[in-house]
Parts: sequence; C-alpha cells; structure tokens
Amino acid sequence: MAILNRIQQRSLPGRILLLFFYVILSFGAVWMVYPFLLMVSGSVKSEVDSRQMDIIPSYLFDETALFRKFSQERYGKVDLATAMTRARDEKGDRYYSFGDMATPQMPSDREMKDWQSFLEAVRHKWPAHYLSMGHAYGHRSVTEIGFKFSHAIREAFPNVSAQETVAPIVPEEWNNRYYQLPQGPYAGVYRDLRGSISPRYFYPISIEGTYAVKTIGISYGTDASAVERLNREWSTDYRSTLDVRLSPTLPENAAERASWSDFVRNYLSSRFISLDEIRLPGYRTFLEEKYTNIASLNKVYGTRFDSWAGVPFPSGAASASAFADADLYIRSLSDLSGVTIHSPDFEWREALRADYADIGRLNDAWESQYSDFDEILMPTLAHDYLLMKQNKAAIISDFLTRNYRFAWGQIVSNGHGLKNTTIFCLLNVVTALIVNPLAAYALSRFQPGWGQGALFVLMATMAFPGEVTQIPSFLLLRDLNMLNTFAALVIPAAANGYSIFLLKGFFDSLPSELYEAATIDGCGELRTFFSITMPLSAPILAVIALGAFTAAYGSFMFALLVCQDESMWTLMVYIYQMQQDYNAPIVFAALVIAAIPTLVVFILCQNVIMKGIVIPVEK
Amino acid sequence: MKIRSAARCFQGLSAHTMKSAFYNPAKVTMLRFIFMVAAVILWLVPEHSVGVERADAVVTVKVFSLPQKGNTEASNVAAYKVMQRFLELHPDVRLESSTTLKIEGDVMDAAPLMAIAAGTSPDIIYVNFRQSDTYISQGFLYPLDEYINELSPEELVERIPPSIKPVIYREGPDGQSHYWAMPKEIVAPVLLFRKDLFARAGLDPRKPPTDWKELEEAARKIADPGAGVYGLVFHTGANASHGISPYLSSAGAKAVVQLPDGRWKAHFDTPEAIAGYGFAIRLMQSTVTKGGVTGALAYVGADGWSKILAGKVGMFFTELSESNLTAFDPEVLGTAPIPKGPTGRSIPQINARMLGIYAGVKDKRTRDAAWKYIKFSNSEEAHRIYTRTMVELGAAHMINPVWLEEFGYPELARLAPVGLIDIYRAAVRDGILEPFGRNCQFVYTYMSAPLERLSYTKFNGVSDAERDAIIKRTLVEAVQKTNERMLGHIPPEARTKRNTTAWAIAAITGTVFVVFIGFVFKWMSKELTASSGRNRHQSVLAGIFILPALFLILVWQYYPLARGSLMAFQDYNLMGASQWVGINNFADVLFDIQFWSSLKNAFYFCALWMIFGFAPPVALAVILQEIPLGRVMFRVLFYIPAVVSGVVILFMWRAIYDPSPDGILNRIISFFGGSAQQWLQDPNLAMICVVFPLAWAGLGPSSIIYLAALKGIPDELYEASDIDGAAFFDKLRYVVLPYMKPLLVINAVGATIYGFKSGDAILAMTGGGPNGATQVVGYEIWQRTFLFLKFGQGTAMAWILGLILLSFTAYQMRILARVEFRTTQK
Repeated sequence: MAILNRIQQRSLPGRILLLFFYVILSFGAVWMVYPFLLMVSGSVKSEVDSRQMDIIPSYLFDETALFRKFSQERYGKVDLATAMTRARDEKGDRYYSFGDMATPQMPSDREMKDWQSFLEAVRHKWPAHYLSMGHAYGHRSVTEIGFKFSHAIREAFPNVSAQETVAPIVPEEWNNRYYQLPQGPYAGVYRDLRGSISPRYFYPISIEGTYAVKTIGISYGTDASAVERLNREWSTDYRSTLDVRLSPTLPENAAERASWSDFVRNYLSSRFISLDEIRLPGYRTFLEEKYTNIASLNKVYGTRFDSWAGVPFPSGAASASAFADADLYIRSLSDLSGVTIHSPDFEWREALRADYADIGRLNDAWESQYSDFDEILMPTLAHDYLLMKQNKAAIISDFLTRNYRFAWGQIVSNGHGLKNTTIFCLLNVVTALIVNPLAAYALSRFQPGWGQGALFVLMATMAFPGEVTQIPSFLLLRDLNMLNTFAALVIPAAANGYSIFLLKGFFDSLPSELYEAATIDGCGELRTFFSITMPLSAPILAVIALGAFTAAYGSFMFALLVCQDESMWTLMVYIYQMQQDYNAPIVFAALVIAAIPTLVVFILCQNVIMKGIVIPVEK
Repeated sequence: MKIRSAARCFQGLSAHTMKSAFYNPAKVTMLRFIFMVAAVILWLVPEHSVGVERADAVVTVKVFSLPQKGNTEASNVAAYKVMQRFLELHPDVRLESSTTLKIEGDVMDAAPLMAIAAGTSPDIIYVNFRQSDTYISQGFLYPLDEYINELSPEELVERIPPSIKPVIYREGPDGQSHYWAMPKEIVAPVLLFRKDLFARAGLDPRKPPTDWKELEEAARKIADPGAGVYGLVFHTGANASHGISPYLSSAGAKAVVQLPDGRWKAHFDTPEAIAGYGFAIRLMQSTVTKGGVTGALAYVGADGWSKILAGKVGMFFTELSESNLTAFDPEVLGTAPIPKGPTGRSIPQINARMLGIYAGVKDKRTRDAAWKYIKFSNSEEAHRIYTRTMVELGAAHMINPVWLEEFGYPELARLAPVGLIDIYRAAVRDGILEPFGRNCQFVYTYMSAPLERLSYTKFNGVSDAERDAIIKRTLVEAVQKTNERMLGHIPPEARTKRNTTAWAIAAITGTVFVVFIGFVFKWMSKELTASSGRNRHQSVLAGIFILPALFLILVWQYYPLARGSLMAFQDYNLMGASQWVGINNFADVLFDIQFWSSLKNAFYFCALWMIFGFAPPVALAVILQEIPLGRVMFRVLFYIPAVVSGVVILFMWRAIYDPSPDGILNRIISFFGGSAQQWLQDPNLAMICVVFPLAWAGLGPSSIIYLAALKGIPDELYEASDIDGAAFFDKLRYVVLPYMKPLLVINAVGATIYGFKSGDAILAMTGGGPNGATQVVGYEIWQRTFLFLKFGQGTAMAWILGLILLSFTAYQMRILARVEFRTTQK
C-alpha cells in the first residue's frame, strides 16, 4: 500500500509530490534505457557510423549518412574510393575518412542516362579488370558480398565450420599492380559469386583517378597550395589536383612527364598497358634473357608459344606471371614512349565523342560547359548516389538486419555454445534447489543439538577476507582435474551459508502443524521435504532458481577461466570471442540477441520475484 | 580490458579492437573472484603432463597458432602451404592448433600461460624477449640443447644470430646454461610516416626526419588542429612506455642492466633516460596553432591506433619483421629509421619472435616432432615455399626482398619499396635488445607510471634544469620501486625494521581477530534456539541432509582459506618450491606508501558508493511504491541495465565519457552551457565516473528488494498514522523507516564492505589511472598478486583489509543473528 492515502494523493501537496516523482522517474528511466538503446542502435551500424552515439541511426533518415555507409561498403578504403570517384569536399581537397563525405551534386539526367547506357553496353565487352566488385571488403565487419560469400562457401563446403567460412575478401584493386583475384580453396566460389551477382555491385576502375590520388596526390598534395604548384609547373589550370587528366601516352611537359613516368613505372598494372608494335622486340628480348628458351616460358605462363616472335604483350586473361614480367619490363624502361595506357576513363570519352561528335552538342544536351571531350570525368560518384537512391529500401533493410543475421548464424552454428549454456543453466538451477534448501530444512525441522555449531561453521567464512581463497580455489579445481567440466562451473559456489541461513529462517516460519500431520500420516522426511516444505516455499525457491539461471547464463569470466577448452565454451564466452574478431556493431547484435532471454524471464517473472524476496524483520 | 598491450600495438592494425572485457557490474562480488583468478592462472604450472604416450604411429603436436585453411589473406595462404609441405615430409606427424581464448590487455603477454595452467598448453609455445626470463625460471621451457647441438656451426650462427644469443642461451633454474628457444624472426622498430600528410604539409616524402629536431619540426608542420590531424601519437595505459622506447633507446638509455653477480637492476633514471623521457613529455605536451585553432601536437590517448587508421597521424612507430616487411600500404606510408637521439645514432630496440617446446611434454616422440616443426618452419625450404606462394598471389611487395633474390625473383626484389630492407637490416645491426631480465614482461608497466605522472606535471615557466630535476626525481622513485617490486631488492636494515614493526602489529591484530570471532560465535549461539532434544535417528538424518552443503563449504571455502593463508607467509612460487619468508610480506605491505594511498582511495570510493550506490535504490523503491500508475513499466525500465551483458555496459559508458567535445556527456554539458570535461582522464572526476555506472547498473535490481520490503508493511500501520494525521514525510519517518531498519542496516554494512573491496570496475575502466587517482586497494591487491606475481604480498594485503573490515562483518553477523527473514506476500 502506498504511503500517501487516497485523500492525500488528491490534495495539492500530494499532487505536487507525485508530479515530482514522475519527473524523477522519467528522467531516471531515460538514463536507464539510453545506453541500452545506444546498443540496439549500435547493432545496426557499420564502421563509418559506429562511433556516432545516436539512438536512431542517422542513415534511416539522412541520405548523407546513408551515402557514407554505402560508399564505405562499396570501396572499403577511402583511398580507393577517392581514386575511383574523385570525391572531394567543398574546398576541393580529398576526403581522408568516409565519415566526412558529402553527397554529390547530381549532373543532368541526360548525362546519367548516357552513363547508364554506356555501362550497359560495355558490361559484357570489357575485360574483368575494368570492373571491380565492391561491397566486399570489411575490416572486422561483414559486408553484403562478404556475407553472401560465406554462405556460398558453406553451400559448397558443407563440412567447413562457421568460423572458417568467414573468409576475408581484399578489395578488388585492379588498378594496383599487386592485386590478384583470390587464390586457394575458395577461389572457385569467389569466381562464381562474382559472375552471378547484380551489376550494381560493380564499379568501373578509374586509372586516371588512381593517378590523381596515388601519384599526384602523394607528390604534390591535394589541397589548394598543391594545385597552385601543379598548375605552375604543368602550365595547366586545374581547380584541384584531383582533376588531373591522365595522358594515355607519354606527355610533352617535362614536369608532367616525370609524374606520368613514375606512375607507369612504379604503380600501374600492365593489365592496363599496351605496347606499340615497335617496342615488342625489346620486350621479347627481355623475356628471352630471363627464360632463355621458349619452353621454360611456356611452362611458367602455361602457354604454348612456338617462338619468341609469337609472344604478345600480355592482355586480358594472361597469366599472373606474364603480367608480373610485363610490369618488370615496363619498370626497366628508361624511355616510356610507345607505351599506351587503357582505361575506362578513356573509353567513356571515346564513346561520347562517337555519340556527340561535337562538344557543343554535348554541352547542349548535358547543360554543361566543357570545352573538350577530354575534360569529361566518369560520373561514378553521382552514379553511386543514384544507385543508392534507387535501391534505398533494400540497402537500408540490409544494413538493419545484416549484423543480426550474421551474429545469429555464428551463435547458432557454433553448436556447443547453446548446448553448454543450457546444461550449465539447468545444472545450476537444480543444484541451487537441492543443496542449500536441504541443509536449511535439516536445521529447521530437526533442530539437532549441534545445529548452531553447524550453522556457525557454514556462515563463518563470511568473516574472512574473500581474496585469500580465490587463488587456492582455482588451484584446487585444477588439482582435482575438474577444469573443463560442468562440475567446475557449478560446484564451487553451490553451497552458501548465507542462503542456508535465509532459508532456515523461512522454513522456521512454516506452520509446524503441517509437519505433525505429515508425521502422523507416516510421511518420510524426504517426502515431507519435497511435498510439504518445497511447495510451501515455492516463491522463494522460484527466486533462487531464477537467480541461479541468470547467474549461469551471464557467467562469463568465470566460465572462461575454468573452461578454456573450446568444446566447453558457453554462449557468453563465444560472444566474447566474437568481440576479438569483429567490430562493435556485430558484437552488439550478438549481445542484443543474448539479452532477450534474460529480459523475457524478468518481464514474465516479475511478480514471482516480488513474492519470493525475503527481507529481514526484527524477531 | 582497459590497458592496451604495447606489444600488440606495435605489431600492427590488429590492435584496433574493442578493449573491454566482459564485465557485469551488477554481479560484482562473483566477478571479483573471477578477475583475481583471471590473471593468476597465467602463472601456474600444471603438475600433470599434457603429452600422452601413444601407441599408434602418428604423433600429434599442438602448436600455439597455425595458419588457417579458410583465410584467403596472402600471408596466411603462404604459411598454409609451408605447413602442408611439412606434413608431406613428415606423414607421421599431425599438427593441431591450440584453441585458447585470446585475452587482450595487460595479460596478453601471458595468455598462453593460461592454457598451461589449465592443462591445455600447446606443445610448441611462443616466447618473446620480455617473457623469456619468466618462462625459463618458472621451468615452462624444455631445454633444446640436444637438438641444437645437432646443427652445424654455420647453421647455428644463421639461426641464432650472435647478437641475440644472450637471450636464448642462458642459465636455467638448474644453474646450467641451455638453449631455450629458436628465433623465428627478429622484429625491429621503424618510423612510419604518411606520405599524403607530408605532401599536404609541404614536406618532401623522400626526406623523412632523421633526428629529434627534424622529427619535431616535421610534426609541427603536419599537425593541423582544425582538421584533427596530429604530428605524432602517444599511447596511454600500462604499457605506454613501450611507445616511447625508440626515444629512450636512441638517447642511449636502458631499462635494466645486469650486475656482475647476475642480478638485474632498473636503470631508467640515468641522464640518457631523462633526455628520452624529457623529449617525449615535451612532444606530448606541445601545442600548435594553425589558422587560429590551437591543439595538441601529438595525439595522446588509449585509442591511438584508431587515429592512425583514420589517417589522422603523420608519424608513428611500428615494427618490421623479416617475413612481413610491410603490413602497411607502401604507397601511402613511407618507412624511415628511428630518428637519431642526442647520441647522434639511431638505436632501435629489437626483439625476436621465438618458438620453444613446452616442458610439460613428457613423450619424447612428441618433442622430437615439435622440434622438427620448429626447425622446418624457419628453414630455407619453408622460406622458399612462402616466397613462391606470395609471388604467385601477387603479394611479392610484402615480403623480404632478400628472399626474393635468393629464391629466383631478383626482378621482383627490385619492386619492393626502396630501402626497406636496408632500414630493417640497419635496425637489426644497431639495435639493443629489448629487456629480457627478471620479470621484464612488466618493465613497461613500471616505466609507464613515471611517464604518466610526468605527463600530468605542468612545466610552464620552469627552467630546463628544474624540469630535468623534476623528471629525475620521478624516475629515481620509479627505479626504486622497480628494483623493490619487480626485481626484489630491499636493503637488510630496512628489512629488520619493517619486520619488527610488522610482528608487533600482527600480534595485536591477531588478538583482536580471535576476540571478534569469539564474539560472533557467542551472538550466534545465543540467538539460535538450543536443541529441542530430538531423537538420535533424526539427528543422523539431519546430518545426512546437511552433509552435502557442509562438505562443499569445507572443501571450497575452508580448505582454500587455509591454503591461501599460508601463502601470506611465503614467497609463493608457482613451480611449487615456495620459500617461507615469515612476516616479510606483511612488513613490506605495511611500509608501502602505495598500499596506504590505495586504502585512502578505497575510502573515497566507498563514500561515493554509499551516495550513488546505496541510497538511490531506496528512494527509487519508495517512489515506485508511491506512484499510482505505470509501476510495472518503470520497474522494467529500471531493470534493463541488469539484462544487458556487463562488458558492453562499461564499453558504452566509456564512450559516454569520451573526453572529446563530441563525447555524449560533453555534448550534453555544452548544451547546458558547461565546458567539456576529461571525465575518466581527469584525476578529480575519474573515481565518480567509475562509481556511477556501477550504481546505475545496480539501481533496478536493488530497488526490487526494497520494493518487496515496502509491500510487507502492514496496512494497519498506515491507517493508524492516517488517523493521527501524518503527512508523507511523517509516515516515512515513523512507519516506513522503523520497519525497513534491519534491511537498511544489513545492506548498508554490505555496501560498505563491498565499497572497500571493489576493484574490478577499476580494472575495466581506468586501470588505476589517471595518475593513480583510482588505484583502490581491491585493484592494488589484484595487481600485486596477478600482475607482479607477489602472491604472498597480495594475500597479506587481503588479510589486512579483512581485519580492517572485520568489525563491519561482525556487526553484520550480529544483526543477522537477531532478525528473521520473511517473504512479504499477502
């Protein structure tokens, strides 16, 4: 019953007091729930926004936030994204983090249409390295393609454990000479996946952008002062170093030539290079010096050339070794004339040239002011944004559920975790319901002469400093060979003097007439215990059982210590393990899933708990 | 756990991980046990062997880590191929990866020992310089002499370079010198710098800084507070000093030196060390102003790696190893030698990853197989397979160019980032060895304390000489502490004085203790009803019923108590040969200023806990009982923190306490017009910040108990007071309070005891920092016992703490004896 009676509640001071209480409660409740909501919100985030502490993830309503996440998923690394899209901030400088990216200005509809039909036309024509598969790379996280990849692996190799199917994917940096498609056991799965997914996951490689970021950006910088210096040296008038155009062949200007040569020699993959006919003999001599005879070259390349004269500069599906040799040859050249760069950037310009012939016509159609076709950049960034808008619902729902799907898969498929947790919880509950109640019953019912002595012995350890016993307890577990058993989890804390004391006090208060009746009816002591005492004490025992359940379910450090063997890990230990391998959002998702049972139990059993709590009263 | 392992940091990107342990503030008592044991096991040696004699032909060797099948990262695939080749060559051997939990934080170095303790140790264990002495002296490693003596002299020199031989070939517990491990590869620190930030700052990426002066200049140019860009980075935490070791070593300083008699002494209070510390502190405290924005020159914090990964740090140190020269993208990051110090030389501190055979392997065949694997994994053939695979995977730029040349890819060797191998070789050639003396896995912890202290010292307007004097004082003190605690040097006169005092105090407290126990027994016997004289049969039956509980308590509480008490009088050695040291441990503790200051901190913690942890649940219960609507809803809402698993809570609170202006709490504060605070990093606020989450998590569950108690108050009492015309607060005072008194008193005493002992939240949130402000006695005990292996001292402290709290405990038991427990259902 409330302290204030009905009348007081309705009086003015009473109302003010209650209002005050509600204010306090609401304020407190916000603080109680806020971190929990942060966790729930964090569980549907990814690397870009995981550090933003907001209750409602901003990408749900803010397109900029969604675009940042989308770009991060698509390219994985901000350097790669900058090279491919040449995204820049309002000052013309490049971005160093996806979290700073803004949404792009959309070009005219016509430009977008031209771009889309261009992509559609070249999709099947282009070699594999012109289009990279995005949405695949994540650092300690799971991307859309990464998730599909692990599913595909599991289907192809049903015996592989869930942990192992999470194979990392490196971003398809075809522009980098060191990149290669994945090798090893799952290479085939990767290839099939790559061939079967929607074109919207691919983006065209921009060699020009790579040049702007990797060579110009590093040697000149990217900010305003850098572009001034560049313009001075190159006699150009770029507004940003990101705007730099790549000449397909060796440029005239000396400063530009130096950067260009550096890029071609040291960075660019020979996949994007062709040699003029006139330079081929030199290339073949280079190979001849290395391999001496054509047979050993054929062995390394896996080819069947008859003579040196038949060996072409590698292209398309040539072997990795052939490209590696080509890279070396290019690197060895002091004069890079006769080298031509190929890139989607140029093909796009060629296609436009073919369509419009005259730049004026293009400007009319696009409402733009280009003075030459060579000025036109691929609208990759705007297209990304368009793709995002077109698939917004699907992208958002994927972001919202992916971490959960992944975490659930990890939790369920690890097998042991769920089983161990269930057994541990059950054993803990059963032990808690037997050991202490039985002892308390004996003390209460029989009141043996040595009773208080026994109770003292049971309770006296409370007076000793607990730290002293901790190390020896562990040593004992080890000496008894109990580590990695359920016994180690359950037994050490099974008996508790304080609980026995509480229970004894409670049993003392049960009416003794019942026991007398039971004795007269010839009921044995065990039966009396189980059919009279226990049922009468149901609420308090329910609280004990619930406590034992939650303790076992949430037990983490202790479970980790005494059961280090993987086959004995409980759910919480597995989640801890996930924390080592994955980023916070995924762990949050796993923890939200794991929190559900405890929350449900509390909500359902609230009244039982209230009834079963015992409190001390003066005798 | 909070404290980042510097070693881990140095190794690379993997350090960018969530650094909190699973931790449930609501279940603190239980957790305390766990935390304490958590580290101890790191040091245990099992008495039983792991290797079991097998009759069948195949020998299984457990390795601490093996390449995984499903990992498509190039280096992993290459390592996997090497392993496959080994298995081809040795069909009678089976390799198994040991699945130990990865524990992070300050116990990282010792993680494999957890497996040793639990009897699941791998047969091949990983050793580094720091750990080597502990591993050897504790007898974890099997001497490799019989195997190494088979090697030809040339091979021996190649496998064990003379420069690192002192670490590997040294005296063991038997007084003889043995080979203890095989180096897998030498790692050496280098300076990495972001080329793009260099270009942005107008610096030439081809000309990285070569000495301290240039380093500072470059850092000043790079730092741009407005853009959140820093010139350098300093990590904080227990291993912070590892991050400044390139400065210390280049200044010519050494962490420890070995005396002619073989003992080790801390040595970081020399003029060289002062120069190194001084330079680091100056960089840490410097600010730069650009475009009207003033900010720090260097990022100083626990999450330094996240700043590095975000591309916001211009220069930082990392370690190169032979097989993996560039874990970083060479297009973005340039490599340079450690900058020269006042010595005019670049002196890196080198380390080696080594493999050893676990001494618990009893089966000779397992040992032989283990040796074969160790030998093969660093053989020429292994290198060749590794190199070839890496080349085939297109990852040639990541490996050692020497291998490329050696195994037929000289042209690819030229592709490698220019100069990398030279830098690495020079580092190996000029480097000094990472400390490998007694207990040196803790040397960074000891060296970090003065660093932290100095970084909080204000040097504004202090002359250089005064500044050096302050640094010197701090270092001398730290060296003393290191000698005493880590290396165990105490002068004999001090010893005698301490012991005499300790005996006197022990005598007094012992008497008090016995008297108290006597009182407790008397109270309890008086209150418990005497025997009602049941028959013998029932007495036997009662005995049977009570037996399980009694047995369990005897075995799991009394026995550990007895065993643990003895440890307080020993220099406890996990190997089993512990020495009796009499009262020494108590004497050392009583004369330890840090112990007393940790007690003082515990008082403060306890006081805060009473305010934030004890009182609010009572008030909440009263309010919940009072409101006419929404009781159940609020009850559930307030209970929610208890449902969420512990770690996350603390992780989340640490994010809430984020000291940057974007931190949640700082945003809230600035919304109300306040200024941003440092929270956990502010020595004045840190303790409150630790207490609050604990109180917050316990609020709901604790209030449920009071709520149950309130429900038990008979309606008649209220009705009677209504007739007297009592108002709200009158009823609270004259009806509620008297009824709840026993519960309140018991819980208040419990809360006090908890407040004194608690230490685990500290471990998870601050690690005793900042500057020792949260070093409470519970955490001090934990640290002393499990981090510094002073089991005896830890136990002695626990006893002293127990005695201090004894009166509380006795009082609690006295009340317990007087009350009875009832459910409050009506």
